[in-house]
Amino acid sequence: MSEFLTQFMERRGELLELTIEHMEMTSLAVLASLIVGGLIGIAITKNDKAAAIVIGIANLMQSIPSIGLLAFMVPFVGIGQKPAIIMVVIYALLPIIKNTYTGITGIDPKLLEAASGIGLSKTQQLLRIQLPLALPFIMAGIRISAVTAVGTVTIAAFAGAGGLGWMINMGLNANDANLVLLGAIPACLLALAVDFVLGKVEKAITPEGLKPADKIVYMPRRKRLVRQAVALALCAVLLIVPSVSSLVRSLSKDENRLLVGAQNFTEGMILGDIYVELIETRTDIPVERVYNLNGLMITMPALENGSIDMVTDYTGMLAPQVLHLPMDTNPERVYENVRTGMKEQFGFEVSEPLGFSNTYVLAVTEETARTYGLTTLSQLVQQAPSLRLGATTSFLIREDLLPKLKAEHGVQFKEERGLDGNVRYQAILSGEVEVTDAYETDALLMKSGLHCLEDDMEFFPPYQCVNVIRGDVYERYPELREVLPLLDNAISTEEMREMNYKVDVEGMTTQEVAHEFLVEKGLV
Amino acid sequence: MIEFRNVSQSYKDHKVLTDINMTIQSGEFVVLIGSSGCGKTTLLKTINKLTSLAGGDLLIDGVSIRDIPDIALRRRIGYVIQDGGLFPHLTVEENISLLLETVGMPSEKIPARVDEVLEMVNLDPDTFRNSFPAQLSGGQKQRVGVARAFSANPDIILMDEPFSALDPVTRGELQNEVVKLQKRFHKTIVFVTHDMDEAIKMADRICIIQNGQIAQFDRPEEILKRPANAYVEEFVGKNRLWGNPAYIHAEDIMKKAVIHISKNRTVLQALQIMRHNTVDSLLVTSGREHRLEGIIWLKNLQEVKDYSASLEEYITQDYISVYADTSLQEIIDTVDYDASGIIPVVNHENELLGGLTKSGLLATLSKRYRRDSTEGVEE
Repeated sequence: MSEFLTQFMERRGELLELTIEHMEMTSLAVLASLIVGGLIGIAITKNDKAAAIVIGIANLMQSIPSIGLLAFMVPFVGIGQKPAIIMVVIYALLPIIKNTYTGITGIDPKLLEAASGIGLSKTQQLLRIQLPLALPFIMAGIRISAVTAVGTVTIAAFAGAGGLGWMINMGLNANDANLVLLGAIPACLLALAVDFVLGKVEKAITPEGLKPADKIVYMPRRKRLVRQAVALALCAVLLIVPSVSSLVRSLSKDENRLLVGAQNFTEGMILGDIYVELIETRTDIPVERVYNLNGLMITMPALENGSIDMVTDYTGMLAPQVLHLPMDTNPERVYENVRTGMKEQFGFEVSEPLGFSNTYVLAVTEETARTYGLTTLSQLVQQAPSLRLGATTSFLIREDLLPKLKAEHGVQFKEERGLDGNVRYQAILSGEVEVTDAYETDALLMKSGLHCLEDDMEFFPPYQCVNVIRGDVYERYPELREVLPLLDNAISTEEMREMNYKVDVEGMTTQEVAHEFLVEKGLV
Repeated sequence: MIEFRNVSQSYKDHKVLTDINMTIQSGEFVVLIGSSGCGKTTLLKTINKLTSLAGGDLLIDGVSIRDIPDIALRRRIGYVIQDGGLFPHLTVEENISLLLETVGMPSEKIPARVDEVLEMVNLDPDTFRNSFPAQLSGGQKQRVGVARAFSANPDIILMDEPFSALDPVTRGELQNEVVKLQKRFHKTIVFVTHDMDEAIKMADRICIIQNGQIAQFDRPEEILKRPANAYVEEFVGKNRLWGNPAYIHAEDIMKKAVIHISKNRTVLQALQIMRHNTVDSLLVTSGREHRLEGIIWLKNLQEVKDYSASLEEYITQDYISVYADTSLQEIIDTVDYDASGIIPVVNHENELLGGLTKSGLLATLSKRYRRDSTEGVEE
């Protein structure tokens, strides 16, 4: 708890910024859904068939998993707030369309006949009768949308949109429950606040005459209109002001910036910060961080459409997943194939390896190592039947990992359990399993003092870290040809692991660690 | 004046109205009535184009409604539906002023007009002006509906079963008030109902619709007495006439063959006639036209010595006569229940047309109640 409070005090400025950003995105999305959904909702009241189709489509869109929708949109609209807001709009649309439609069509047809009968035009009927009667329903729709949107916007962080999801996402990747809570609690409070305020607005705009007879309190028409207007204005301010500020900010963005991308885990962000500081100190190029990108499904489209200019990744990821190359465990060959492949297929430049590799390793406790005499992978293969494995799901199912180990080397562990995150460290330290998988530069490896088994069989695919750069970057900024290679072969596995440790365990920021590294190496 | 000229209407393949021809005079109260689905409401809505005119033509004061834009037409015609058709989010005042605004009344004149029409329908403006429909009783809502329809002072008001959801007492009150307002302000009202009693009570003329055609369009009395066909007769109900004593006249229920004697006859002849018919009085007439001269009573003749004496000096005026067009209601009110004998029915020239006996009256009235007890279920 005290740790949580310390984190909160340290990050409160950042948290406030993220909260504001979160509100901006929510407001913009709800405003857009209101305009689009409201108009659609009104339009489909004229035609039952169209209504069924439109509501069906809106229902269907609601059922698309948000992460999938986000990934689907990145190639078309890039990364950042744009796909995020489109995604949130898609989810926020349904309640508004539905409630507008129900609110208007639910009005007693006799009333509309009376309205026609006394000579109100269609427009007068809509403005004087239908909308006032439907307003509470529409408002309830906005309320549901807004509350949902606060939640959905957290997902948007996976495409680098920022907001409170950024904090949650970081916490998830650093296995830091406090960080997750630091993002989740404000998001939750924000949702409650939105619900409360919009609930009040809903109550204020509900026409007095629609209440039960004994609850009706007469107010002069002017006073009633003022009350409704104030409520609607409040609602409008809540929606419009943050939207405008968000739009202004995104429009005022300098187009001519170098966009440094980073994936959504500590190592990626440290490397991003190292590049950013290096470039900022050595050149005059304006740099912008585009961080928290959720894996290749986001980074590759982002590179292609210019949402980012560079991002670090690993040869073992790029070869099979982007270039679809066959399995290969020779590091030099894999690197060479990746470099030429990326150039030919996408026109991307791939830097020299940065020096460290972040491949899979299998780790055991010191005690297990001693008991079973384990220092290498081949020794583990012999002892497997008497050991229990607790590994990440991807290790258990990826064809080049455990299945290959079983097929080619006949490995059969005593027991296999899928454990993700830092649960597997807890499991191995408490003696529930003896073997776990890890990434070479994992900070937790260092923290928990696990013993990594040397891959003497060239079994694991190489995961050399490289910087992937858009082809036009050197044309736009020729001076980078001198700067970026400074990091080639500059970071050892141990150095990287230590930097991760400083962030994930000791609580330093990625920028501090990056700066420390550059100073140590004499690069700045 | 509203003229229907071969008005036809169909819904999908089904003909709802066929060749309706009818003229409603200005200031007339016309009730459209018929069983449900007969087309009466469609016919009503054709007038303000809530149902568009399919075939034929409809003229208001000589102008075809085809030549009047829908909205403009509706603003000239008042419209009342069940429950008044009030908008629940507006107060009584706003419900009325909304209409006044749309017809273009200057806003400073609106509040006064609202108060005026509320008073017209017997609602105290100070009490009800700021009420919402949810706070009103059914009757009050309907009064506001009526007030709204009268507010813009249209020549024509259409009413679509406005009172059918009200309790009988409230309904009765509103029926009376609407008729009064209609006469006072000389409005043309077209009123749809399925309640024959309501129609008879309110209408100047009733139009009975049968399967989209006019079965009969006439004054209530004519419809009651001379139904055009079996449908009308059944719809009206055979006993309906008896429920409306105002429409039953002496001539309808009198006995035509009534015993009478010329004033030139003798006492003896009179006594013989009385004995023969076992009656204690005789009507005395004169001339070919049977002008009623008076009555002679048996008790006055019994002391006469000279049987050949002329009747003339024994004639008395000790009787009550009624005119042929006196209503049953008045007859019942004027009958002297203690006196025996026959009630002569005469025309305005005092010529004897027939007679009513108390036993005959009793039979007439009891016939009504007998029917009610056996046929009342049908109503």
